[in-house]
Amino acid sequence: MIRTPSSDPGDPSAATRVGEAPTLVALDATFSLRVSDRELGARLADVFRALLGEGPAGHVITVERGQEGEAAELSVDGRIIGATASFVGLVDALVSVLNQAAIAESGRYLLLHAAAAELAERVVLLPAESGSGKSTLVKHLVEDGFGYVSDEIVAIDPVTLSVVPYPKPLILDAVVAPAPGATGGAISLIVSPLYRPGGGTFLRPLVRSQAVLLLAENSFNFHDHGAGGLGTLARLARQCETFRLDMDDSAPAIAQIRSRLSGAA
Amino acid sequence: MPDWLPLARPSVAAEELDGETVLYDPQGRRLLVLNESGSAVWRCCDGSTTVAGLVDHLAGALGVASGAIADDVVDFLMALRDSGLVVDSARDGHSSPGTGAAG
Repeated sequence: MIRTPSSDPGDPSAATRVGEAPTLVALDATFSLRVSDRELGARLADVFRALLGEGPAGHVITVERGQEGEAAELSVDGRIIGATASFVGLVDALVSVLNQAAIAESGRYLLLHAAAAELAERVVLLPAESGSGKSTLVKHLVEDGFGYVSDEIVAIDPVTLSVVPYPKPLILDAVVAPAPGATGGAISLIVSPLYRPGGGTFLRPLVRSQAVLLLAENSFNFHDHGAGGLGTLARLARQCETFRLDMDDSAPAIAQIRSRLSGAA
Repeated sequence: MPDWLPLARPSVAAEELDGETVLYDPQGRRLLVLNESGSAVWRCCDGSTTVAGLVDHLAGALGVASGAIADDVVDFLMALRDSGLVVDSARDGHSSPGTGAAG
């Protein structure tokens, strides 16, 4: 049976807004998050606190918690998209909804399949395929004192080349909730990681043409930007050094990134 | 030697980076990289220089005889034309300001 939120504020099953700032901001996509269970709502608010914003939302996400042992049902704009019995699964599903909308509605930015972190207002961009280890690497960078900018999607303003932060939760072995206050800024270093167990950890420089190809290959919407997209990536390649990073251990990887970033102009 | 006027297709975007040229063809949604030699040929595809003139210009810049590079340049231009990146301006009726290459 599908249960719909009650309009009676005294009804414990009534859908409640998440905290005082009910809007989740995923770049240019915005969501109102309605959760039928207050405890679950509070947990989700904590996990997504870095994305909480204000103002009207373009979409409504509804989470209906089932009876004990039953899955929580997830709907977007009135359409049921799935159900999951685990909290991690629920967060993963929500992140997927946010990501898809962010990509669909944030076309004014050049969107890269990448992670990003910042140190002293210098951003290191980590473009790479799924499974390359970029999410794990960005998690380790943040644990080492870097600021978390984004994971999975990095939005670049094509005019200023600055990164717009999108600090969604990281989902690795567990959910990692970033702290609010993520900043973007200018990209000072580009490092494309690839985890290779037993292969050592070292940086290989790329020439600028290879950097452009790398970034275009890891873009969600490069072709939508046409010739302007090439210009944006070329300016980015001229702005900073680009490397491929073969890594089998995070500690030397972090050290090399920190060293390069500190020496970047 | 084939007698036509190579013109870089106007819709193809090009960015020079450290002597190489990255081309983006929006029609084919593809990216290509030209090395330094290819970039030099590309820069001469202004629609007002014949193939022979282009060969002579490049040979002069390299300080070699035209015959030493003619076959490679002709083959490269044919490959660019077959890929749709270069057209014959005499047939298409477009040209861009000359590069100064002999025509």
